[in-house]
Amino acid sequence: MHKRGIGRTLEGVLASFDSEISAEDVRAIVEQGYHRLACKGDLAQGARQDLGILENLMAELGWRTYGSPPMLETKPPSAAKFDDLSVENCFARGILRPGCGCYLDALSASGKQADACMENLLRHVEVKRRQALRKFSPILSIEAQCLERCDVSILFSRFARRRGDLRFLNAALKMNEWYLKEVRSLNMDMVQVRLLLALAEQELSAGELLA
Amino acid sequence: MMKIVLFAPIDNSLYARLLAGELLKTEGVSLEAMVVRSHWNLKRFRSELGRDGARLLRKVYQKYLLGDARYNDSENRNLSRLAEEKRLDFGSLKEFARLHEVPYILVKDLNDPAGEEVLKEVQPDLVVFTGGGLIRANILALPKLGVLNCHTGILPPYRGMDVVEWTAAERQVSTVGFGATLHFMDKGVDSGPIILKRTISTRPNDDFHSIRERLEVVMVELMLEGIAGLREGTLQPQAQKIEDGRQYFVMHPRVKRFAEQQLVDQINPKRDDGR
Repeated sequence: MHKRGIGRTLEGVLASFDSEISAEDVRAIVEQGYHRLACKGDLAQGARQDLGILENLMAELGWRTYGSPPMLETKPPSAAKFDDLSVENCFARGILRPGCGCYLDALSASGKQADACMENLLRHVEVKRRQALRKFSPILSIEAQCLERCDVSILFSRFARRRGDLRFLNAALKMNEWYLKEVRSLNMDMVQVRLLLALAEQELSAGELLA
Repeated sequence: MMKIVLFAPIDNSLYARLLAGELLKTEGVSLEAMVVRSHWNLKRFRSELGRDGARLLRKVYQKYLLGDARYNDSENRNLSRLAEEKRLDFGSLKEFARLHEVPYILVKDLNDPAGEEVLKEVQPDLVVFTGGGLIRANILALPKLGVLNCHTGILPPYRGMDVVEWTAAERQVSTVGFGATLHFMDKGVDSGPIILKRTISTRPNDDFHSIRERLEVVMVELMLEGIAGLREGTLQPQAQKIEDGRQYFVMHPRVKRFAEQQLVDQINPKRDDGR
């Protein structure tokens, strides 16, 4: 009886340790972030492009944007963009090659060639958790590291939709929660908008797979 | 005589205590030693807290604060009921070791050299693993037959963590089902040769907790049946094909809520009249 009383109190305390961010919270974070960035006059070209992609995703989710989202280029990224990246060398022994997120995304969209690499990447993220994706070859700036991590989260959300594989959405949900605090403390527009993209991609997959 | 060493995650593990008690009564089997992981030290606690967050605190609360009392409210035939049936009369492995003069080795980690030394000295046929983290290859190689583990899911399809929940989330309750699989451990996660597996049926009011409670009893039964079968030579381990399954990981609360809905849908299929 006494233990049960302690148990209830403890359950309350434990609930406060759970860092889960609800779907409503995610929407609020994305809409507020979008509003702030869209109003900025001095947004760099790269961030402006990502903002366009974000507007399209938000429209797909039925979220509030300013006017109609811009038309996006739909042609796949050229292979030359990835230089010497390949499935074999983009992720090995816990070391990620810069560009793997985009590269594997393009590859997995066109076939099953990337599946084994995706499993390795998933295992790495799930086992290392908050310490995942911190070793890059070559060593990257903080901004580039954050962008690459967001790209992997985006890749996981898209891969989850493509394959109907909940495990990848599960990993994206966790990654975005881990990164949220860290990334929001950085005053870097490009990283901020990429995180918002990762969150919107997550919600698109959640809407499809958890409905 | 088949020589066995028991590996336990904590001193008061009911699963480990039940197995120790039953192994003592089993003919043709000799429990040679018990290697038991000590309670958390600060380093391990910090490392696991960073990895598991609130999940670890819940585990500490359930295992250390509640102990066997966590089964009191249940109507299931769970480990506590099984302990009553088996007249388990000791509260810790240390007490059991003292009563029955079984060597008891307390280690910080089951991979510690002290555990390895015991295995080299005893040269057991089997190590019975009842939890406590990953086991390194040097330890896995020491027992003649191998290290036995019972996984709370059906292998080969469901390897890894939270597989009861993942089975429901992927709507595989009627095809794969809930069950336990006895297998030899290898360097992978739940990927070693399979010895026995058994599914359980679901009940209309089941939730993940009640399913897990019943599976824990199946795990004890499978361990004892597997040990007997290996001793008599009636069971042959079957290698798994890694491509026949996938590895699963800790489930995010949002996915878990979805899994809970899927479980209800699958064990209470809607009738044609809409009721």
